[in-house]
This record gives sequence, C-alpha cells and structure tokens, in this order.
Amino acid sequence: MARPALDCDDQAWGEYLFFRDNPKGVHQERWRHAYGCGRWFNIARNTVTHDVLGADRSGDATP
Amino acid sequence: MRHSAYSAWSLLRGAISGHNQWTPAWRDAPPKASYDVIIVGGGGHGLATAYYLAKNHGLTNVAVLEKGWIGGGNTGRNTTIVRSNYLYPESARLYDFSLKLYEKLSRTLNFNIMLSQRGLIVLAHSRHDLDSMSRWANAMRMNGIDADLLSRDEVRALAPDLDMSQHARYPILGGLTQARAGTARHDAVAWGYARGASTLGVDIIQNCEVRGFLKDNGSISGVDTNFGRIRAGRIGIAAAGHSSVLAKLAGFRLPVTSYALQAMVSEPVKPMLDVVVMSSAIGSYISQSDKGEMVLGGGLDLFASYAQRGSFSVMQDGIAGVLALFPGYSRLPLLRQWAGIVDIVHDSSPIIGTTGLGNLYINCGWGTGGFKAIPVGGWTFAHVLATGTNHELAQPFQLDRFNTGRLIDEAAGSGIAH
Repeated sequence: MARPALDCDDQAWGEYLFFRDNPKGVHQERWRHAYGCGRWFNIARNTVTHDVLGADRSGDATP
Repeated sequence: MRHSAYSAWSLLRGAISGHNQWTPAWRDAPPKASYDVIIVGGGGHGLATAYYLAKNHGLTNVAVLEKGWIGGGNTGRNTTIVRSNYLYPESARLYDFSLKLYEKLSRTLNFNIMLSQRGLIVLAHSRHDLDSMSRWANAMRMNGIDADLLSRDEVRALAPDLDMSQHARYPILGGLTQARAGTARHDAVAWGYARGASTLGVDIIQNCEVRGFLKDNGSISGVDTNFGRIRAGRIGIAAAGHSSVLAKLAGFRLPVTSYALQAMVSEPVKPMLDVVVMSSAIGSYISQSDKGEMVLGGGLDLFASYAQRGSFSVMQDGIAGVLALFPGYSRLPLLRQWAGIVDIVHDSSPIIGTTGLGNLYINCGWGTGGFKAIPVGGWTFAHVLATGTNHELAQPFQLDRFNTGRLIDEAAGSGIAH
C-alpha cells in the first residue's frame, strides 16, 4: 500500500485510509507473532478456507 | 397470491377443519426477464426493502434475489437483540426509528415477530464506566430515547444471578438500561417481511446467485445470474458480509472488511434471566430466548474471513466473560455455535445510498448490529431505490463520508464493540 502525497485530494486520501479490496479468496496480510517473538511477517491466506498459502519476512516481496 | 390474515379466528377455524386451509406464507417465484427494481440479497434488509418498496412507494414489479434461502445468512445467525442506545444524534434517530417500527411490526405484517421489550442492561465495572454511562444516558435522553442509570442494587434486582460478591472478577458498580430494548424472533422478521412483500406482488427468487452486472454506458442495467440475465431499472445490494464481492463484480470499492462474528446457545433451561445483559469492558453479552436457551456472544474474530465459522479462542473468551459475570451458568452445556460474516466499516455506521455507478445502490456496513436495523434499513433503502434521493434519516450515512471525513464513529458509543 503506497501512501499518497499529503497534499492529495480527499478522494485519494479516503481511498488510502479506508477503502480495501476485502477479497473472498487469497488475501495478502501482515501479521505479528503477538504471543511469541513479536516479529512482523507477511502471509498469503485464503479467507474462505483459512489455509495459509505462504509466509515470508516483512519487507520481502509478497509470497 | 392473496393470503387470509392470521388471527385467533383462523386458528380456531383450522382447529375445527383439521388445519388443511393453510397456504405457503410466501410465493417462491421463477425470475422474469426484467423488473423495475432488483434487490440482491434476501436477508432481513433485502426483504424489508422489497416490502417497503411495495407498501410505501407502490412499486410491485420488484424481485429479491437470494443465493441461498431467505433469512439464511446473518438474519439467521445473530442474537436477535433490538435496541437504540446509540450516542450520536444521527444514529439515535436512525436506530430509534427502527425500534419504533419493530414495536408495531407484528401488527403491520400480521405476523408475530415475538418482540419482547424486556430491557437491556450495560454493566459498569469502574468509576470511569459510570462516568461515561452518565454521558451516554444524557445523550440518549437529549435524543429523545429512554435511558436510565442503575445503581448496583438496581442491577442486582434486575439480574440476580450476576456475581456481586466481594471477590467478583469484574466488580459491578451500576449500569445503564434501555427499557424498550429487547429481543425479537429473527426468522419471523424475515418471513413476516417476505410474506408481506410477496402478498403485494414482489417475486422472491431463491438459489439465485448474482455472478455479474450488466452495464450500459457506465450505468448498471441488470444482473447476470445462474438463472440467466435479468434486467432492472434500479438495483440495490443488501448483502452484508458479501457486499465487497458484489461491489467488485460491479466495479466499485467499499470501505468494508468482512469478519466472522460468533454466537452460541446453551441447552434450554427454565426462565432465569429476563433482561439482556451486556458488558462493553468484557465484550460479552447474554440473554435467554423464549425457548429457554441462553444466547451468548462475544467479539469478532479479528482477521478477514468469509468462512461462517469462528475460532475456538474467541468463543472461549466470550464464554469466559459471561461466566465471570454469571458463575452459576458454568454447568450449562452448549447446544449450538455459529458465525455470520459481518461487514465492518471504520466508524461502525451503515452505508445506505448511491455507489457512484448509475442505477446501483447499496445498503451495507451494519457490521455486528444489522438485525436491530432491519426495519429502518428497509425503509430508507426502499426510499432511495424508489425516488433516487436519500431518505432524510439516511442522509448522514453516505459512502462519500469516507472521503469528506464526516464519519459517525459509534464504535465507542454503541454498547458492545462493533
């Protein structure tokens, strides 16, 4: 997600803050291992089956 | 199809004649080639919209398309609570209009929706809870909605099973009550609106899934379904947790994330709790159904989901919260657990109006609180579908508020977090 310039119009700012794809199927997500090491990481997860399809370090390209 | 009205007399006639005069409550219709208005989604909001289109606006060339069976989504997956204890004037007007329609609905629809205005208590566990409840009760009263602050003893009198002991995990200092809040029978609401709409000429089409939208010069002119193409002058989406899926098919975006919300019931027991009890701090709530089941729920499963099932850990949190309040209920066996896919927006307020695409309208964003809003959702959505202009009550709840910044943030003010 790319943050728009601070002088962008309301349309672009609202889009950035609030509007999401919300897919039924594969979803790219950022999780944090809250009850463990505390590290952030990326996963691709299916929102219907809850299957995790892949994971990698935060900052890497999407899995 | 005309129905004879349900009454004590029709029951008596049935008793004498062997109950062979009953006809189906509503007509399962095949689709026509075109309609004035199509509503996508045959839950409470979709069916209520169809009913008010016919009743308030005289539009009867209307179809409700439901991909499963009517009332089988969130309308059949909630905890049946109705209330209007909201904080902001816009929300108060909207939800209290809904509660007022509920108060007359059994008579309006000639269908017993089993409304039980048993009252609702939100518990205060700290001085700060008491302070914020005073503000909340004052706001409600300023908005013309019944609200009363309760002392600790008054809470105890209303719900004697609450743990009020010295060693209670969550001390109870008092509460806020709305006496007009309560519960209603969820499938009676769906079937009552379906029967009312069907009687006025609306087609209710089940097992009909919308797979695409037909476009003419950038405007929407119909839908593509598993029954083929159906054309329409105007189309309304009332699909709760699946709003984003339909929006994507149509080609617009929503500020919605879909999450699973769980609820569960115990085995039926003798009457022991005659109010709805909520705790915002704990995030749990409980009531007893007319069948005797204890109906309880907690918070969302906080990751995006379309799975209609919840995580065990979230279920455990909800139950643990209820048992901390009502330790005596710990031996109740659970009978059923379920989850509905709810459409969460950032300010916990609905979206009722235009989509930016010609002839396409949407009613969504009710999140975890859609059941209580079925009458007003239907009323205001029918208004915009029939007239093309927003109903006064729905005017603050437009999609463009996410661009203008005029949010109506009820997350903190609406009782249970939603």
